[in-house]
Amino acid sequence: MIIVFFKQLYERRDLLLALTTKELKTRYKSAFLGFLWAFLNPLLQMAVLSVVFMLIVRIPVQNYSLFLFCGLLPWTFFSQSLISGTGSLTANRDLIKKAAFPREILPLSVILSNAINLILSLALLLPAILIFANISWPLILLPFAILLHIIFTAGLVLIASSLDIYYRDVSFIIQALTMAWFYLTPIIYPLSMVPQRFVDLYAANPMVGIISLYRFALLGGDAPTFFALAASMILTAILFIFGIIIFKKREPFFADWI
Amino acid sequence: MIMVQAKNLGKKYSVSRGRPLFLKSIFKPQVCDEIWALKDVNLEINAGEIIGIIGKNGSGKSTLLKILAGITKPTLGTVAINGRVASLIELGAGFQADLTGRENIYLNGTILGLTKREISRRIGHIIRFADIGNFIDVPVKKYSSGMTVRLGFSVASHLDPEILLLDEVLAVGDAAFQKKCLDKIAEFKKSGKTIIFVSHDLNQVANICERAVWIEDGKIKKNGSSREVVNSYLGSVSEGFETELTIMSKDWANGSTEPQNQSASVKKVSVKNLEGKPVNKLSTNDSFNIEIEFETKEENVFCGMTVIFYDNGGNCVFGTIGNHESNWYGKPMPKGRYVSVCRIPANFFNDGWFDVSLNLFGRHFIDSCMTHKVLRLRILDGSEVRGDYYGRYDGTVRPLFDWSTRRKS
Repeated sequence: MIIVFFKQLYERRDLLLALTTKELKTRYKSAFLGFLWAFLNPLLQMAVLSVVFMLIVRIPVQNYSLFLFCGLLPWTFFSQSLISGTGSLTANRDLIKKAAFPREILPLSVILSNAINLILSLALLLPAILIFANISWPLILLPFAILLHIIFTAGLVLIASSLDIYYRDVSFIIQALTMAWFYLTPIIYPLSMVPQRFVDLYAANPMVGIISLYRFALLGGDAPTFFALAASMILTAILFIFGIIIFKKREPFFADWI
Repeated sequence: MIMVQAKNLGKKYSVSRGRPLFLKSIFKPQVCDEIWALKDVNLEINAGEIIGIIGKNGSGKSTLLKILAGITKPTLGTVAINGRVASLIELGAGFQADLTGRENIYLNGTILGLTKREISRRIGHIIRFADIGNFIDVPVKKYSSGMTVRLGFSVASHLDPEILLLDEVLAVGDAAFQKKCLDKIAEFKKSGKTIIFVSHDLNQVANICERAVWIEDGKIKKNGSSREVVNSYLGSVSEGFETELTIMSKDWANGSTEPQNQSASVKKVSVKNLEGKPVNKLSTNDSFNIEIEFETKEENVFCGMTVIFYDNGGNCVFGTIGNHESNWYGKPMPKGRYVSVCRIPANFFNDGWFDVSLNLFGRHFIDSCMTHKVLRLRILDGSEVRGDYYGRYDGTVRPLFDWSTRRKS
């Protein structure tokens, strides 16, 4: 099943690319500022959060805005992919009912287009890091962080989208989950603020390892703990394989359910 | 070579009200009704065949096509497909309103299974075939519906499949476009491709396809030469109409309300076949008699009759006077019972509903008594004399006239 998944994906890679370009083009074609919105949105969010957490809550972190941004950009990728990826099958009802192609291409194209946004946004962030902080060797870990993140998101979206096509409350559950998940991930606060006795349990959240890896790659500082990283990688692998299996098992009935 | 082989295909749909809730389903399993859209379907299609699939709405045609296209999976049975399939269940699948025609060619083409390189190689042909001029670089949302369809068909017809599945695509577009489609199908046929084609246009099925499959209630009702299958299908479609609304005979048993004048009274009017037996079904191929039984009131009276036919809209089709009748017309009739028979030839009426009125008259056409809606006939479409035409006939009559063509120069 997993081999079939990758074989079909390879055979129809042009479709994956075409749908990804379509996602990018349709999202930004009519918007005046084009792609910049993908960067501007987290920027605005960062401005608000910076004010709140630097002046009011006062989180003791140097260069808080940069710190926040390094977590917020990957999170934006994650939450947008998760929410629109989950609904990507139901949003393409006509296509599923009227054309035959490997259905996973729909959620994966959403993730891929968001990933391209993420990479471009990170590229815009680099000069800021150069000015306010410095970049050192951990930056070579950035591609690995992005890859791990994409695979993790893909596993989750494959499961959620294949459930969403049958159950109508899945997208709401996912939205609520995403909101809660945001606060359980060290984005607005550093990992060091988590009470010591909860740290291991806390790091079982695979996003902890992933976000820490992004931070480490971009800003240096403490490397993520081995445990957090291992938890992320193992969970990512399990989730991805499980996602492929559940998606492929349910796929033949998508056209009937939708 | 067998291109498509379906064995014991069955497709079950579970029908429920809307989509269930995930949180609820954990605690309570869903109950739903089951419907078999297809059952026990066996079908073999050879290379180079053009095969039409006909049947009423909801009979399972589209489900069969979707299974062959790989869009959905059969509940029972197997399908073996031998070659590259292109399914045109909808033209322009996935067209994006905000993208230009050119961008949509790539998108739609890759959805239908082409690679980017294959599209780049063909894009010149595709654009030329679509023939929409400068609109090719304009977002599709500015297109007329005709232009969208043309672009969609243009992409689809450049797929180069071994098996082509078509669902009602020819129903759209203007005459020029339809001709283009038919030409393309002929081209496909020439190059030995297999075409499976779902249509409500029986004329197209009878003329384009060699073989047709008639599906009813999810089962194959008939599978054979397209003309034969279309004929039996047409017969069954008209049989479906309620026959209880017809009046094939009328009796005036208790003398009071019967149509009458001073010389005679009508006792019974009925439709009979040529053997004189009552009938309850008429088709355009049948010749039939209208029999009028009457009684003269006195010795040596004169009496005649007119039968008038009206179409369903109340327009008079024609009337026929029995004044060419040679036995009794114009002669004094002794008191007694008589039967007048008016024969309607075969291949005269078109199919449809007809009301029959009867006019009874005395000498010099005076003293007449007109009775409306004595009979109500339903003439079914008997298609033995259709030739190669399977479409609608206009008008209220469908006469079979002599035609000849000769070469003048």
